[in-house]
Amino acid sequence: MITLSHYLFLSMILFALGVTGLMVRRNAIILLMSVELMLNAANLAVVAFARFRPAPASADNGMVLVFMVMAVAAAEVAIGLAILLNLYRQRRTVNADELNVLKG
Amino acid sequence: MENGQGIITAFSTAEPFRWVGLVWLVPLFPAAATLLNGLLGRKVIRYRTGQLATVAMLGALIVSLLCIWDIARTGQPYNVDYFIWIGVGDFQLPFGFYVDQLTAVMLFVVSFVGTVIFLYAIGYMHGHPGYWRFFTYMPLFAVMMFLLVLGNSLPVLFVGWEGVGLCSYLLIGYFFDRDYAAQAGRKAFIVNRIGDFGFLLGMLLLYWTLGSVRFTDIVEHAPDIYPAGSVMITVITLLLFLGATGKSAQIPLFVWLPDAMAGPTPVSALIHAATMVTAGVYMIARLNLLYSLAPISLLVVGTVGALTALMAATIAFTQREAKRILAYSTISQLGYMFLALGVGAFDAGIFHLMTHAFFKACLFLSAGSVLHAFHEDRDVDIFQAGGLRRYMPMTRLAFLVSAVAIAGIPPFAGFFSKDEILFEAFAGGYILFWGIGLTAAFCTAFYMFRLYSLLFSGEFRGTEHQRRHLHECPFIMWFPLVILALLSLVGGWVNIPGLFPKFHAFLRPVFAEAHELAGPHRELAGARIWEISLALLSVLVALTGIFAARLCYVQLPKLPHWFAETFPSLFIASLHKYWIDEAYQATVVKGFYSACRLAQWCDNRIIVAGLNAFAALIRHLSEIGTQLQTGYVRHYALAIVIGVVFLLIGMLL
Amino acid sequence: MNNFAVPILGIQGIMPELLLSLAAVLILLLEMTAGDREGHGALSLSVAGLILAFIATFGADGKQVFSSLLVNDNLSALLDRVFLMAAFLVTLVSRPYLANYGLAKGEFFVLLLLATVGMMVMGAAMDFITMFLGLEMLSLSLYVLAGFFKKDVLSGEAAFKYFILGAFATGFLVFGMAFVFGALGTTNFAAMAHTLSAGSPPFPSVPTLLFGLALILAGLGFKISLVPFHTWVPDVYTGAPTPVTALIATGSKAAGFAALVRIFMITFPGSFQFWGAAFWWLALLTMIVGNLFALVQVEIKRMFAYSSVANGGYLAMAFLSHSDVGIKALLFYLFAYTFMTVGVFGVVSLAGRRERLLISEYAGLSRENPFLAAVMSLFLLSLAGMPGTAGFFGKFYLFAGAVRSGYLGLALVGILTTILSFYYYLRVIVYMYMRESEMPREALELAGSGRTALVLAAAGVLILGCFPNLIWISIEQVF
Repeated sequence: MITLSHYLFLSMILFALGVTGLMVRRNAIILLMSVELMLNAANLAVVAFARFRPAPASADNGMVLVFMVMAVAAAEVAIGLAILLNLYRQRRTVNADELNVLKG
Repeated sequence: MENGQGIITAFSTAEPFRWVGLVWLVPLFPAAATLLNGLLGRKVIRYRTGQLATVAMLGALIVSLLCIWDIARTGQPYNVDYFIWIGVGDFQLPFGFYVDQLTAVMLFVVSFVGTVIFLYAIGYMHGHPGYWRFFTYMPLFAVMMFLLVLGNSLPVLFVGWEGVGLCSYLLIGYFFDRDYAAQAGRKAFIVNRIGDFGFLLGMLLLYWTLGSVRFTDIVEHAPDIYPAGSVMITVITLLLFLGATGKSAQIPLFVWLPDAMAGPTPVSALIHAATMVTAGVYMIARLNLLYSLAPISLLVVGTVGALTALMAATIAFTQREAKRILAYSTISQLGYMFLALGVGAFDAGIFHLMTHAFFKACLFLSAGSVLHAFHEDRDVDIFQAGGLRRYMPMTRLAFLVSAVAIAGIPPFAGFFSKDEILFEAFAGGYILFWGIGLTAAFCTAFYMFRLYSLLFSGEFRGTEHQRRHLHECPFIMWFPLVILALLSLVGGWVNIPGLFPKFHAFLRPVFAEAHELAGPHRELAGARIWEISLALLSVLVALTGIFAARLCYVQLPKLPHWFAETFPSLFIASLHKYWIDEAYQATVVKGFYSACRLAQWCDNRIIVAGLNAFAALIRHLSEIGTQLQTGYVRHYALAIVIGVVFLLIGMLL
Repeated sequence: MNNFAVPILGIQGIMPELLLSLAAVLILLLEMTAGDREGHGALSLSVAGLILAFIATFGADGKQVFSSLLVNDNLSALLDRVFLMAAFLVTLVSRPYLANYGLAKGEFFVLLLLATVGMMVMGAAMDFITMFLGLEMLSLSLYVLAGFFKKDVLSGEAAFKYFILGAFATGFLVFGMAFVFGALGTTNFAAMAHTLSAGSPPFPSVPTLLFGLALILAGLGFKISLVPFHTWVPDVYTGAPTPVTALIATGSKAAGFAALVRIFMITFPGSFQFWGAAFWWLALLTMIVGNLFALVQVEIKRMFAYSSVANGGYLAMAFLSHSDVGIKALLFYLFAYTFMTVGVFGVVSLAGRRERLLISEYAGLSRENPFLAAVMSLFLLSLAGMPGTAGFFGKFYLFAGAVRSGYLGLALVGILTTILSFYYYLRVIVYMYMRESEMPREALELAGSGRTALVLAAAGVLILGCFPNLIWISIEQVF
């Protein structure tokens, strides 16, 4: 039987993948994807908790949180891509390691 | 805390109406003038700024007189809190005013002399660029000075204290396109910071040990908390006195005042002679109870005052510039006031403060009208002047009256106050102080009449061009001179010992407790014969000084040559009129420089080196640290992850 | 439990937010129809919206609106005023600044207003859902604003870094929220506090809740730029358009603290024993790192960035005090900090036609533009904590609060690092007044709104410095 722990474990793995991705990858698009992965890991955790929590769980407002996160994530991606596009126009690259004029 | 109900209760008490309740209007008038002149002065009000400011001062004077009348009538001090100023938990500091007899005297001096000087400044500053700016800062100064004397706690006093300082720097640097003025402003700023450091520290210690910084609480609790002569009260009072030496230009922090003469003359008269520089005297008089609990501090105050009085007077001997001489004279007279405080004669000190405000303001304004005649705004070389009595009779008369007053000739104001200080010193058994004071009195008479003689007697020694332009100042300038000269004449009559001791009777409630604590020596005061003979002696000394000055600079101008022929050894001294100056230069200044060099050496070797090493270490750390900021996003992400891990460990384990 | 009965009258509870949003929409419409080239129309509409919203904040009645998603209490009203003031001053500075670059477009003001709405929602949030919504509204607007100079390489890089790291931090925050939700079964703060006080233990165990709270702390730590979550600060502050920097440094940071107070002090007051010790170290590090790294900076915005980190550390110390005085000191310092920080960044924005980015370029400013030099000195002295300025009482209350809560060591470090900060603050004054400029530059004519903003900020600094109780009284009403 699949328990809450399984879901949470999966969620943790997804989250860790996202965190690791952000630290090791250089392509800015992939960084964006890693961040989305983290948000989805959180969504998975919320849904799992809502499903497995004993009563009296008002699971519905947890679901609202999930929908809100999904909607906002879409907006975030839109803005992120716009920023990346602009960056690409300026420098002809999306390699995050080349973006270090600002430092010190 | 009730939201701002303090304001309402302050104005709607059930107590019967008292005129002194209007005291909040006193700073409000000049504040309004500052606001109007500052906002509209440049474009709209322009040359009416002076009149506006003067009218505001007049308003403050009228309200002050009402308050004083009320205090004199009822004899009851008036304490009011307007609103909670700083409140943290149980630390509640209200902003409020305290009016008693001492405040009343200060209110009168500030508002009266202020009004007269503002009036004078309308004429004096006429045609100066930035006229409106001058009349923005001047009322602001008045506001701050009123806060200083009215504040009912040390922090309120400190706001005024800093405020008058700020206005002083602004006004010293009024001609800020000139280097010397900017430098003088800076010097005053730095020297006063040292004093303020002492003041703040003293205030903090007081709060720490007494639990309050309000004057009423201090009077109530200080005798219970500090045993007379205890270390804590001595330290507190000495620290506060350090603040006073900065503001009131005493040894060792007096050096800024002569340079402060770079400001316009009305500023010198109001701020650097009549009011601001007396703030130190006022502060100590206000805290008289604390000082009378600390005999050592009182002795220090008296010693510093006596030494300053003598030193400044001797320096004044050899200066060439009129305002500079008056500046040293101010330092010397302030020394007298501290001498009075030091021997426990607080009322005598305040009395001298008042008479000094009259005659010193008058002297400065007269010097100002000489400058006006010379078309100068900095200072005038007295050896390039002379014979001015023919050209400026009113100025000369005013100057003469106030010079006689400061020299201490009866029945002029200075005689009564100065003589009282000397008598109190003598009666208190401080014979050395008395001797120093008497010597300084001789010096005062001498340099004052040296100045008078070189300015007004003899023949004019300046250029022909200057001579043709010499003229008496306009009415708006000589009228204030006449008023002040009149007060220099009659100002002392409010306290004639034995016959009419009104002033002391008026102030008695303020100092009664301190006098009780300070000592029984005042019983000698009954010895009338001593009093009269000492008075005669000091008059004699003053007359000698005047006579000597007239002899050297008017009757026998050839006296130096005669000296030169008879005593070749003194030839050099008489040839170089600055022999004393050079001696002073050689001993005091050189010695001071060597001391400075020594200090500097120590400073460089030990303190600076240590500091440098420390600074280098910090800088090194900083440089290494900032290299962590690589600019790579993944490094930043790593830092965040480290933070998260740290928090997780911290919270879960 | 009837969650679908939306109270219609709840609208009045979000009046300030509505007014601002309305102003934003009107600006967009104006932009489309009239073609507001110089941004004057957008400026007027923004100012009108901000002032109306400010007035509307006085209608706080302490009620929860929209099914307890938002609360309209004294705390949120006070915070709203901080946000609105920051936004107001930044708006005034922005128009002349943008016009100087030919970029005074309406959408800048729209984004600025929306960011402010985000802050206000965050300050009033009583639920993870609204808090997240506010945070994202604020962040997304600021990401775009940071990259507003599309041609500028630094602005683009700043936007990218801010975006990626911000989203990263949001990821932690949301993950944390998921676990707190899991532990307590609700996203509503009041319900959470109720659940805990009713004695029902977190599900499945206490660590679940703590895990969630730790991640939320980290996510908000990013917003308030606590070390080591501060790494984005210097880069973003330097690269972003200066008025945007001002908003990030003040409003955004204040919103972060608002969320911290709501979650950790009001909802979970008992959690202090778990995060107190770790947070102590972070506050300590933040004060030290911020002040230390500011010392060697040559670029002025980068220096102020580190200074802002340091100030975040002082605020964190007050937050840590979790005493009555401490939290009030935090609110007071937010006011003071807003005035002085918007002030310095305002001066940096308006100091010349080409921005003066290096500290050495401020040499001779006192001669070129005495007004700018004077107000800049005032703001710097206030940041350094000079008596008579807002910064003095701000620090006074902070340190008093810390000492009262027994954090003597932390307060001592705070005072020592404050002394360290004199060095880099006063250095700018020395440059302005005592060094001659090597090459005189074309002065930017100080347009009306820019000057007004600086005068207002200076007045704020002085008024708070002389009469701290004016604000303190309204702070006393919060708790």
